[in-house]
Amino acid sequence: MMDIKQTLHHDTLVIEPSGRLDSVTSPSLDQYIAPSLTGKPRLVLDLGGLDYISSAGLRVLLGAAKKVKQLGGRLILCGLRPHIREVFEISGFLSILEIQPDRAEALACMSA
Amino acid sequence: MKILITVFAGLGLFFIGVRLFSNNLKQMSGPRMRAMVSRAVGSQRSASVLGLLTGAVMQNVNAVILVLSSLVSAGVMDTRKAIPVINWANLGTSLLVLIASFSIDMAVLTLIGLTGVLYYRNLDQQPRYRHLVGAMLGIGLLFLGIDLIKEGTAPLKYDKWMHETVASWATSMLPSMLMGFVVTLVVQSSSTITIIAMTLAAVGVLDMQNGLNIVLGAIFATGVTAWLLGPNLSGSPRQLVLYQFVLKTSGVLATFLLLQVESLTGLPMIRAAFDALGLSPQLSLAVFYIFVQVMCDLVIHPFHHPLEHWLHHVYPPTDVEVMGKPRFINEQSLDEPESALVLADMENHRLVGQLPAFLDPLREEAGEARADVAVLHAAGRSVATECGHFLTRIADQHHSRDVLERTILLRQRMELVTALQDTLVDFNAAIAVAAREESLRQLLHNLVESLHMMLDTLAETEQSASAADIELLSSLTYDRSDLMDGIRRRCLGLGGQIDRSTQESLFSATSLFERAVWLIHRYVLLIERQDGDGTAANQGE
Repeated sequence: MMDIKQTLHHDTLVIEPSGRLDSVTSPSLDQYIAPSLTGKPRLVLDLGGLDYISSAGLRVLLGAAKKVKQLGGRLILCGLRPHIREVFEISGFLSILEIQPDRAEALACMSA
Repeated sequence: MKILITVFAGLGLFFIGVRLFSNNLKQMSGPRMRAMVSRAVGSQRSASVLGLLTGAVMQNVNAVILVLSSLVSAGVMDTRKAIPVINWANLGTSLLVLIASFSIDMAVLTLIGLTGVLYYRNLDQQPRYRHLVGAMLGIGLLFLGIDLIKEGTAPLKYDKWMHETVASWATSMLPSMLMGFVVTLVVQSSSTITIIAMTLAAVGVLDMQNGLNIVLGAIFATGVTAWLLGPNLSGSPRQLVLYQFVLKTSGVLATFLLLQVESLTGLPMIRAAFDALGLSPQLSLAVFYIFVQVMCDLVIHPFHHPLEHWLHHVYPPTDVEVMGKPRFINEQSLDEPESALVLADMENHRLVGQLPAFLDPLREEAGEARADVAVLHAAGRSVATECGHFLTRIADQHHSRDVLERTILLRQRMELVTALQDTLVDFNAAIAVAAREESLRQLLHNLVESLHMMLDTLAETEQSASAADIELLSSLTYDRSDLMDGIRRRCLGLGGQIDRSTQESLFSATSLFERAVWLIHRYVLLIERQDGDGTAANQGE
């Protein structure tokens, strides 16, 4: 199961999925993210509540990152728990995505 | 004693000759054999010529069946088209028997002399003529062996013990049939045994009836040897060996019954026909050999379709066969290199698309419908092998620089796909062992899901060939050696908490992960190169 919350901080959309991000739930996150990918999107994904991520979840994040880059926007991921951080490291995401320790720092970076 | 040694030497020369003749002809036609077979199965006439030729060259129908099996498994032909080739190959083995029935002593001696001259001129060292000279020497030795057997056995014509022994066989068909059967099981060639029987008949050691029985037993043995191959085969290849068994058994049984009826009732049939023809004993046996081969075909002919259905029902195609058949490449497209390369490329896309499924057994998300890795691997190898042959033929037929370059590029990509398949199979095994340790499961899950994501992304990138996807995947698949080293050091730090075999499996899994990422990276570079050449240019999205 997965819950998704979203809040708007000025012009930055914060999406906070929690629970399991797998092949069943990742289409929901994709649908949440898709409408925000217009203009020059500014997006923060707070993954602090994420317990589990599979390859399907990783691909949704990769797809979002690709789209944001094409549109000239910015995507920051934050709040990664150690086991989620490890899968990001092994996947190579740490070298291609912008990652901050928590939401506050992510928003600070976004407005800097 | 002299007789024994002379016959022994004759048999030795004969066997060396058969092997030299067959091996060198196979070498001469070998590389072209597959292409010949796949082209020839298109029409009934060409399939019959092909069957005759392969039977004549190989002198062993089981060897022909094994070649056909590999082609059926690879989807180059189906069993329906392979079966007529088997029928004709059986008849093709008669060629050597027929040649041996003629008295060509002078021609053989001339051939051996000529071969000697060619050897003296070192033509056997030249790649172009090496196999031709070898085949000539083979046929020469074969006939020299026959002559030696004739010479050695000639005195037996007047030997009382020999006459009594052979006469004692005549009371029943079974002893001499059994002899032909057993010797053929050992030698694996009914034509060879028939030629030896012909030689003995020519010098009067063997009478006509026993000669016929030996030939009958020898032909039955070729069916049994095919049947014995069965347990090692499955699916369509097994259908083919069972067909050969049914074909030979029914033909031999029908001939046996006719001979028995003729003997018991006195009705003029086979023996009477041979007597009426007035042929030499040698030629009679050769003609009888051909007669039984034709008889096999005639007997099976009315039951051909039901037999095909039954074989398909008993040994349906295996999963590997079904999945291992190429879906796109075909014989006709070879005339048009552009289409042929596109089809080979589509076949490669299909293989790349299957790569993520190799990790199914390790993923909880794969559910019940998870793929069998052994089947995927075997099927993938089969498709890759066929594509390899297909690309070779494209390169052989079309010599333009562009076609050659694209063929080489596609071949390199297929080699990488095959290497990835092998790596993923080993990765499966290593993870399965390491996962026995509870404390490693999260790490193993992370390795598996990361690799699965990269393989999925590779399949998508292969399809789109977009510059953005290529760039993204290229930057995602950087060298992981430092990261994997770190994991290995961390594992060593756990000391006695995990046992040695688990530790070794984890080390192996991390090395294989590293290798898989490196292979994906190399593959992406090749897509980029193809994209750069303008053959798959889909710039951006």
